[in-house]
Amino acid sequence: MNDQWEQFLDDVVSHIRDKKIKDETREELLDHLEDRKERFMRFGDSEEEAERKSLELMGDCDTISNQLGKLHSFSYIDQLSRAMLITFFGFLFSLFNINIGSVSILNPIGASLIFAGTYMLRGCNAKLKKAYRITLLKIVWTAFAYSSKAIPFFEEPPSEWITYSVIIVGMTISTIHYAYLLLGIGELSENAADGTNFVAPNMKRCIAAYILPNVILLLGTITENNSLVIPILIISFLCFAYIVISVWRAYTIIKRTQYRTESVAKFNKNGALILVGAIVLVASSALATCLIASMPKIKSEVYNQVHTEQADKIREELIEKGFPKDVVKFLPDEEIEKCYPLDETSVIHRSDEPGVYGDFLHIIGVPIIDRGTGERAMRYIYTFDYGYSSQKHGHIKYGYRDSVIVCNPFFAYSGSDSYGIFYEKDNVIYKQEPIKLHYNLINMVNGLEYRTLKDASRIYGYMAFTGDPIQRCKRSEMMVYISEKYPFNYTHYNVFDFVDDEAGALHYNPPPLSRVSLNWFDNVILSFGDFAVKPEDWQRELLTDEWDQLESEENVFGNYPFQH
Amino acid sequence: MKISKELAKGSNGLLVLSVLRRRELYGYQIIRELELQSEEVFQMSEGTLYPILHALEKEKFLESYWEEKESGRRRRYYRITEKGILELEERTKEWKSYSNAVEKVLQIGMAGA
Repeated sequence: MNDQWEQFLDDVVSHIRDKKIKDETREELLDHLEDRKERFMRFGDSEEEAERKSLELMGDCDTISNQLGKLHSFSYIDQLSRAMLITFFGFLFSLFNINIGSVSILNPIGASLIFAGTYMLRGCNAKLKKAYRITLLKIVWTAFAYSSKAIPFFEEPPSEWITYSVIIVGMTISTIHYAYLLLGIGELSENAADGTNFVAPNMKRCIAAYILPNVILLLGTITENNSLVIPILIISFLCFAYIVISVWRAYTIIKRTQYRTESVAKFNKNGALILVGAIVLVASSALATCLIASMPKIKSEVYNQVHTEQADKIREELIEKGFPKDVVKFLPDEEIEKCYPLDETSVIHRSDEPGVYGDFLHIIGVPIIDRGTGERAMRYIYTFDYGYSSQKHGHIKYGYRDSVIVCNPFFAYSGSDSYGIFYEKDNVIYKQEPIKLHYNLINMVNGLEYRTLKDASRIYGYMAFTGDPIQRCKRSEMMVYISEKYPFNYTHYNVFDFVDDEAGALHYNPPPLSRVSLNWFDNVILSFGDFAVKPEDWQRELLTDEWDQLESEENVFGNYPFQH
Repeated sequence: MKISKELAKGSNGLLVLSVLRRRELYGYQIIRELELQSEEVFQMSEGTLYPILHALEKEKFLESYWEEKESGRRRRYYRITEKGILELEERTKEWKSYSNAVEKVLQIGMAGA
């Protein structure tokens, strides 16, 4: 190829930004020149002559180059504005939060947008480049902190200093990321505002506005000082609002002055890949929760039984009272002794003994209406809180369970959630809290183990949410009121869904699978047996004097559900 | 983007679509076809064809693919899309009604002369 061709081709594609398009267009035009040259040569021209003529026919290089450039080089201004706008929305969404179940929705969107913005702006100046590199570190660190089941050397739950160190490192990385991002954006807007009447926002103040609430939050967390909650909320809101407004100002200055930088990148495959990877990591928690419900992994383990004379006596009494044989038989003596003062009319039993706090929690009577016959009966939910116990006393293993369900990995989102299983055996439903919790480095649960009775006919996982009844009351869910004395005094279980049938009775309606994806945690239990409960009724009965009346009804303490 | 629409909508764009309606061609062939069909009346600067092709492709009136030549080099072919065919029909109609109108005006002008 002669030098003139070379020069022409280089010039003609010089305004195309995308390397692939650039190379392809060059190749295409070269192909054209060669075809033309060949034709000229066929008609008798010398090679040199043919090359010259072919090039002449191509026309004005500048015109073609400009047209191609405008076609293929995405507008710098548009791209910069877009990247800035994405970053702005990132900050905006990070300011607010919307939860679905216990999963925060808006916040991760904000974080993703900030990532996308950082990615796109990474070439604009040195600060933004650093911001991007730190983001990558942030993703790696987050993955490390959250999925640390893979790390063998720490004890569970992690000691406070590990947790706080990991949190502090994470916060520091975040702070450096935001600092560089804000400074980089500040520099862009300063350049844009240079020589105009616009005043670029002061990003150093923004950084201070980011650090301030975080430091207070950290202090509040470490000192467990609840009185700081309200000031933190107010200060955080004001500080974040200041940051959001500043980023908006930077954006408008850049847009209005049509400031251009040539290094804005599209949010391309690489960026998307990194982001999707991070999202998958987080989303896997939701999947893990659903897996608990759909296919619990049961590991068979047998624990030793200990019998004492007194316990055996109590066992007999309890069986006489109609308690399920399996429970009574398998309960270890300590538990049986705790059951002793319990009579059937007690809705709830709990142990007040210090030191064994939370082991055998309560038995909850749930009046039910049989779906087929419409008869009313009582079901008991036996509650054992081993999760709490294991936190306080290490992992105590009692001898009355012989199957262990392992849900691992499992990621929890907030401390207010509790997670458990229901299992059904001989028409009795048992609620079981985890016997063992696995933690990640920031002390969040990421693995659970439950024990069940042998041969449980069905096992269901659930997530329960403490408090927050209004959000979900529209759906007629079952609400289990646990003793006011108990710290989790008001727990709200989203495991049932009821519908009116034509006869006016309320029936449990297993949610279709498709809904699971929409309301992950609300519908973790996919099916809950063939019975119906009118929640308003049993709530009332459970909490008022009507309980006594209910108790006297024959069908309540008839054979069902204690059929052996 | 303005530029791509302008390039794609110009009369050269119409001609290119029309040539590609019959078969799939590469750039140089398109130029040759235009020359032959217009009996050498249309002679565009050959290089300016490519912004037009790329603009038409951007508007999704055309799509392109690469084919290996014997020499080992690649060659880029263009084919018209369904959207392109619709566009061509639409613009042919517009063109015809425009040229009819011009013809009528000219005829009246001639009659008056």
